[in-house]
Amino acid sequence: MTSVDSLRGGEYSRLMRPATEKILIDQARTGQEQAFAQLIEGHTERIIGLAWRLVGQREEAEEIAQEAFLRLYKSLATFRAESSVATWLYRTVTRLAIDHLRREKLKRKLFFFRGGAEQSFDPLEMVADPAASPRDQLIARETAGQMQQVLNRLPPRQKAVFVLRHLEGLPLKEIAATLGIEEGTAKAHLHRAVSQFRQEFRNSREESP
Amino acid sequence: MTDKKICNDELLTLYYYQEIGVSESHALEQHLLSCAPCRAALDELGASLAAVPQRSLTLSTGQQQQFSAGVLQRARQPRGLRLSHWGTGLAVASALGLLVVLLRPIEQPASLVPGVPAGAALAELEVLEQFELLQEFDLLQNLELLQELG
Repeated sequence: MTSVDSLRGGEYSRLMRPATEKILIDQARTGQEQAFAQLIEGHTERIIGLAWRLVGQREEAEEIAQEAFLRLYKSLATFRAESSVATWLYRTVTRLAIDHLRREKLKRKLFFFRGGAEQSFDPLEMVADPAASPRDQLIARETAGQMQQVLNRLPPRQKAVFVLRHLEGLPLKEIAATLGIEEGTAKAHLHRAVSQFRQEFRNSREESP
Repeated sequence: MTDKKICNDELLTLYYYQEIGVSESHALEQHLLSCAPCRAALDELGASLAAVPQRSLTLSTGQQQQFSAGVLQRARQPRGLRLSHWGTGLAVASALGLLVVLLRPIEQPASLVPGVPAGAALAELEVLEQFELLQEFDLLQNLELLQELG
């Protein structure tokens, strides 16, 4: 079964082998900062990437990732090898991101602020099919923009389940463990999120000539 | 022909993500062969999810090193220095407020006697009270003496 450590064909696990990770943790525990730096660098890209997909903003994603690594640093003394560093970081980042999204949602409600959900999508980031006609490429970009809006509007926990399953490829069982919810609840969140994407997709098809 | 048990959107979602068991998956595949609405729903599901942007992030080695240096720098700071901007702002505002209260001059009561400073008038009043007490003490002593003699 897929897990955080073997995402996308083992790409993640190649970045940090369990034995290497254990040595680095032991060295970091004895105060060797270089070892901890190496541990961070082995996970930086994926952890910031996850936070970015969850919160939608690069700067905020880096802050969340930084907080997760700081928490790991403080937990080094008690960190047990029961879960890998990657799993621990995934769990921490996801929870921090959900908290962040909830706070942002509350802020928007309190101050009638409508930022965040609408920004953060650059249509050029979407790689259009070069074989498609310019018209089809335009439609694909518009649809991608609308789908990104749907993703931004999802409730925080629903969004986390969708991102972890659809974009990160984690199995629902592991997602449920990461978020501390029942697997059935994770299934329901995923289904509700997917239903919204389907609805938006249907609407966009009906609108396009 | 549709089957309410199998024509189920949630089941299709879980099938798409390979989150159902082998036997359930096999039963659904058999059903799909004969159910056009479910086939259409599954196609739409696949097309809509394929349209969700797959954003990927690439960081150079330099950027990764810069990030880890930032984390380590924050980790080295004592906890007190890692206050958030709001926390720092609040602490500074509280300290300033306290300073204003402490440095405010204490108001002296107005003098009771015209031409005499308030402090001096108070000292005189205290002496007066003590003098009266002494007089009362003398009277008590005299009374006791009389009782002893009597």
